[in-house]
Amino acid sequence: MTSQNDISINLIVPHNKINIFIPIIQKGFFIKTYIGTSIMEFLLQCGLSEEYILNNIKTVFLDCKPVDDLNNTFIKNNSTLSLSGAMPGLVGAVMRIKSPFQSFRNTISYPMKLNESTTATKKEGLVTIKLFNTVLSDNVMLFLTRGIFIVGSTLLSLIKENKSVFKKNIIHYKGNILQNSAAVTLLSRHQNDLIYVKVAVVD
Amino acid sequence: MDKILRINMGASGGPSIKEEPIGSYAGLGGRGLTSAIISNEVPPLCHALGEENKIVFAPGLLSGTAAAMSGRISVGCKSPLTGSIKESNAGGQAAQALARLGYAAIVIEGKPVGEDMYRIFINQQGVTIEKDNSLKMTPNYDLIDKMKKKYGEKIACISIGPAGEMRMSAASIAITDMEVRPTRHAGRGGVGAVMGSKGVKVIVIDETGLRNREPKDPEKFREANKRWVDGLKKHPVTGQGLPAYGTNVLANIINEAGAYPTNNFSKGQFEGVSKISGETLAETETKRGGVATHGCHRGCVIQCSGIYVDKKGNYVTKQPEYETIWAHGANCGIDDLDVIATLDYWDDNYGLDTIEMGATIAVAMEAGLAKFGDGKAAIKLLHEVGKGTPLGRILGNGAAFTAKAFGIERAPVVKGQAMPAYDPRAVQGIGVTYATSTMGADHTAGYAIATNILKVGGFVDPLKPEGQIELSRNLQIATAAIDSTGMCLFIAFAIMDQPETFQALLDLINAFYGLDMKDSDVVELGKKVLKMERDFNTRAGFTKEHDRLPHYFKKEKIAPHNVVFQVKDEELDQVFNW
Repeated sequence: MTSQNDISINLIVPHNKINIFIPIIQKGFFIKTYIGTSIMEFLLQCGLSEEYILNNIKTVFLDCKPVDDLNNTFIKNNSTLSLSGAMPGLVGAVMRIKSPFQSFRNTISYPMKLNESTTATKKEGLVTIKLFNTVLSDNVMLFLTRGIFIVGSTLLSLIKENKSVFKKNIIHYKGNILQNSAAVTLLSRHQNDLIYVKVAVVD
Repeated sequence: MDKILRINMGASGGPSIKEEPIGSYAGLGGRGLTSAIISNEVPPLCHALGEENKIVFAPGLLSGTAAAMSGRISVGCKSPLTGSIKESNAGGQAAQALARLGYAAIVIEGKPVGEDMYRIFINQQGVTIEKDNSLKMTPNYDLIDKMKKKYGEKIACISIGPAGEMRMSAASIAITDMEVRPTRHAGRGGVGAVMGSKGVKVIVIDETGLRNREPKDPEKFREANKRWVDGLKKHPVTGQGLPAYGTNVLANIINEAGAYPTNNFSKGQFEGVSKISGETLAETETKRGGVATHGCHRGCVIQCSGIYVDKKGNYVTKQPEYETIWAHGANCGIDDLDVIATLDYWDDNYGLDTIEMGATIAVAMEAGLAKFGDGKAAIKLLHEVGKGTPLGRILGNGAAFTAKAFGIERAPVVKGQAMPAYDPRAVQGIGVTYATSTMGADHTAGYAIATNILKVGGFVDPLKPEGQIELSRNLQIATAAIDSTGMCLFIAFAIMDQPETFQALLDLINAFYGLDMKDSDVVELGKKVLKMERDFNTRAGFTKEHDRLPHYFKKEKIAPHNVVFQVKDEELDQVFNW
């Protein structure tokens, strides 16, 4: 979900350099959605299959609270949604969706509200997404190629720290090729803005 | 594995050696055996560094066999840190070697007169003990290099560094890994100080010519081992998550839950977590030419370890564990993996428990000895410990001792032992285990074992939250049993989710010993071990009042959830009411 006012940048990144995005993806990026959407519905909208979600996403946090029901937990404006595979350790197991040890975390679990409306509002909101471990490695490409929002200063740091990756011809803005230095100048003016970034991966 | 090697370091005329049949200890291994010997033979009120204490090294029931993941060694004694019974276990090669030599345990007892240090050598021909004061105060890495020069590369070593010789309560015992490096540590409880008090610097086990122990029913054993390995490999935690990212894969998750103790347990989330997470660690190791997937002993199929190298690709240390990265990282406000890896190396070299030292340095930071986040200062403090300066002597005796020395209330300890990497206010159930464990605050005392499969305390509907008290009790029982097998605790996830994999483990034990053990027998074994440990602690003067978290956990809220520890004392008192 984007609007005409969004600053949009396309990046072309070699396949073997995609890992430069790992710090951003685990620290959190943004996606626009309708608030009130259930986590399950939202993930499907992001392009994940139901089979993948059920079989591979085993630990979910919404606003730091472990979630046990993806269908009946709803995204609010400015929510943070974190997704992970099954984790080791007792506490890793405790955090799992519907963990047999969920009583260990009963003071922080996301409250189950089965009677809450499942209808998303038409109001647009922003969600922070964090992907961890196997969910990160499985889906980094999916999210980057579909497009995500990143804070300007974060994108600026990424480009500065990876000059060899973002060399000539790989930064595109408003249909034009942007030199590295021009990209730095542009992003310097928008450090506090959200930038819509779409990545095309090349071999 | 039908004999016990007893070495009396206090015998007149010098250390004496005696081998005896396992006798009444038959059927026990690992923690079961160490706790039985300590509970039976050590006067509970003795001084932990005195002649009446004993230190026991016991491979697990399946160590030295072809069973995958069976290489844990248990070290037991009365702890100088907690004053309670202690079992601390480690990976590495020593368990396999000792078991293949036929030893169910080595028991070191007595105390030499004077300050001499001894080297013990064990091979198929027997045991020799030599006085070797040239090894005094030698750090573990140099020590092992000397042992390799003397005995060759095909050895497994059990050793202490300077911290153990100085009898510090945070001292660990190092076990060499597959590369014969002293990277695997029985860290908790100051077991290294007890080894130091016995005057034993190193036990060298010659692996030359050693063969796997033979099962009673080789065919059934082979078939069960195949199912066992298949089960471990197909599970997403043991087959994917742990091999790819190591134990530190937990960092992001625990941080997200607000349970990642930061700046000496003053908050539950660390801003710099993405710089020290398992994902970043694996990426850093791979990019620099290190190893992100590696085992700590031969026969490990999970491969949750790795090798950490510097920017030039030179070896720094083994891949630091989640607990280490948390203790020296978030808990000290440090977000630099190179600093944390350096601290891990020096912990291993001096022979120190990484959890205790991370917690101690954080307490020292709160006391104003350094600023949170100052990596150089943290390294300097650790060197104070290694050198044994007056400040180092304080720090080397752990978080509780340091807090007392500097007048700090926030000492995150139970029974004197520092808490691991999970804040009990965010995850209250683990607080129950920290409080009531026989070992002091210990995250492995009640692991994520298959309580349902074992039917410990009856079947529990996974969709209905079970009480934290009952669950902690059941987990502690199940863990005590698994700790006796010599199996790495990370098998827990596969046996928790896959009943057929748990059955494969039972079948392995049964085929090896010609038994017909059932899940109920496993539960009884766990209860037996815990009863022995509780009994020892009671006789050592421990009461229900020791089964408590520090009071500040009940009054200081932790962000982001702003919760305090809410489990009532009366509820904690019910954990061992079975």
